[in-house]
Amino acid sequence: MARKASIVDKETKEIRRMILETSYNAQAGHMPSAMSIVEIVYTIYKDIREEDVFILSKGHGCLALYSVFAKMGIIPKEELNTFCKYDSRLGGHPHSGKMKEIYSSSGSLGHGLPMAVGVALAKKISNCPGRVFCLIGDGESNEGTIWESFLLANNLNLDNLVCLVDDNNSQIRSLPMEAIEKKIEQFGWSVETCNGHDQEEIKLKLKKQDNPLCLVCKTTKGKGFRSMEDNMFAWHHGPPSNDQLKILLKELEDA
Amino acid sequence: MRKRLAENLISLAEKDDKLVVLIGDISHYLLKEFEERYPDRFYNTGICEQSMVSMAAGLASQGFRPVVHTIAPFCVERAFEQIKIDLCYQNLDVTIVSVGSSFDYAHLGCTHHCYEDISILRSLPNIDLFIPGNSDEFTSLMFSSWSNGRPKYFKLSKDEHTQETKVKPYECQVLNMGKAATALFVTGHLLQEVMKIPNIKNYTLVYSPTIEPLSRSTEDLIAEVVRTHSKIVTIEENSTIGAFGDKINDIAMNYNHSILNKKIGIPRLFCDNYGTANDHRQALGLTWLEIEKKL
Repeated sequence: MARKASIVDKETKEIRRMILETSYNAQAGHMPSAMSIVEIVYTIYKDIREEDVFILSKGHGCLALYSVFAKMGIIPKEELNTFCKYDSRLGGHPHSGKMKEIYSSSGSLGHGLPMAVGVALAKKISNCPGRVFCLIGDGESNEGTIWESFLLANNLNLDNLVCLVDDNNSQIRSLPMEAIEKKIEQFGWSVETCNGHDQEEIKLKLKKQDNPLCLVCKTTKGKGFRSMEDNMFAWHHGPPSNDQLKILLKELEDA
Repeated sequence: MRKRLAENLISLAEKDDKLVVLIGDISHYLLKEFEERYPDRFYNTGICEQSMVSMAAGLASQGFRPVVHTIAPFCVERAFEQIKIDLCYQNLDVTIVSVGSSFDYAHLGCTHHCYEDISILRSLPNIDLFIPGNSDEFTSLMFSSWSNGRPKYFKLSKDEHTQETKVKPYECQVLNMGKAATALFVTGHLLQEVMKIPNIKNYTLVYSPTIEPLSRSTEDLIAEVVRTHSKIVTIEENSTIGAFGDKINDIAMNYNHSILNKKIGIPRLFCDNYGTANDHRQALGLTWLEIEKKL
């Protein structure tokens, strides 16, 4: 499990601030799930090439995706204020029909990885360069399609496919996925583990692959905020009140 | 029609290098020639229909036009959410071709029956639904709708009618204008049974292998037939809830025409006997003798 630590990196601090304020303004959003994937999504998008594809299979973490978009200038920062509004491009779960930077619609779990298998296969058939990144959650790996996809990707030798697991222990209360690395390895994938809040380590572990690669990112749900880290289930999809927002922003500033 | 699928796929693949076939571990021998000619465009994805449909979506998102093929209950009912979200919501050009229509696999029991496929798929936007009545219709509909950019579903039955039809996707065909006050609307191979009715020429007969969507002019035509006849009988080998019969009802209501529709099809029950498809047709009254009694 990732150690609890405050966020000192200025850029990811800013992304977290955007997540907080966006969730407060809309009174919606799965904040702790977004906080646990900030570094993963930011690392991927900083290096993503035209020919690469990123699928956020755990669509409820989309506040992180949108905030990374705002940070990188893919969308104007003000657009975050439209989050979850009727005619917004930024819904409570992402939809590919809204903007080309969203590669796949997600929200119901277990769809993104098999779709990523199809994308990676398409690149193989047409001899196209580029890698396909798919981010799933440890809870999402309860879904059978995740394991079907591990089986299929290995069978199809998809060495251009990377599955990132946001291993934030969100499933400890129901069906825990213990030793997920060993299980995935049994499906013939190369498996690496990293601190999912360390951008340099994520980047290093993603540098090369000869097989379908799974990077198990050890993360903390609600990362950066003690109250969320300690009460992740209470916060799962609860937006902050005005008083809570002030406390959380101060915690972020003081870190 | 299953044999024609193999021929159609080869013909289409000759012209379209974006065609990719995904099968759910059925029809291996049938598609052997395709596999030999296009090994990099043929994938037996095993018995994981939900992932197969999602994979097809991934392929389509990169410009391929996948054809997904397996038995109806598994590719429609089991993978319904994948069809809804990965295909329809994202409007991707994936063609699903099922076999095991309704109770074609009668002897295998209800797990292998699928009379509700059209009903549940009709509730989804962005998917074209076809029930070809014979192999030639299947070829015509598949070729005409190919690469239209949308999800498509073809329900292939084991039985075929032998009538001469000229079908076009999204349109119906008026096979006969009769003098009787009753008009018959038919889809699929049951046209063969209907044509056995001795005085069929007395009835107006409309045939439609497309269930959704129908063109505006086709809906105009159907509405006019409803308006000018006092009784409508819809005949299909699908559930009577939500499929072709209800499509005709919906058109009539959208045009503010009152409709008295006797829906002939499969009622809301599990056909939990075995035997053959014909046994079930006999039991459910899907024969010309029983249909005639209801006109």
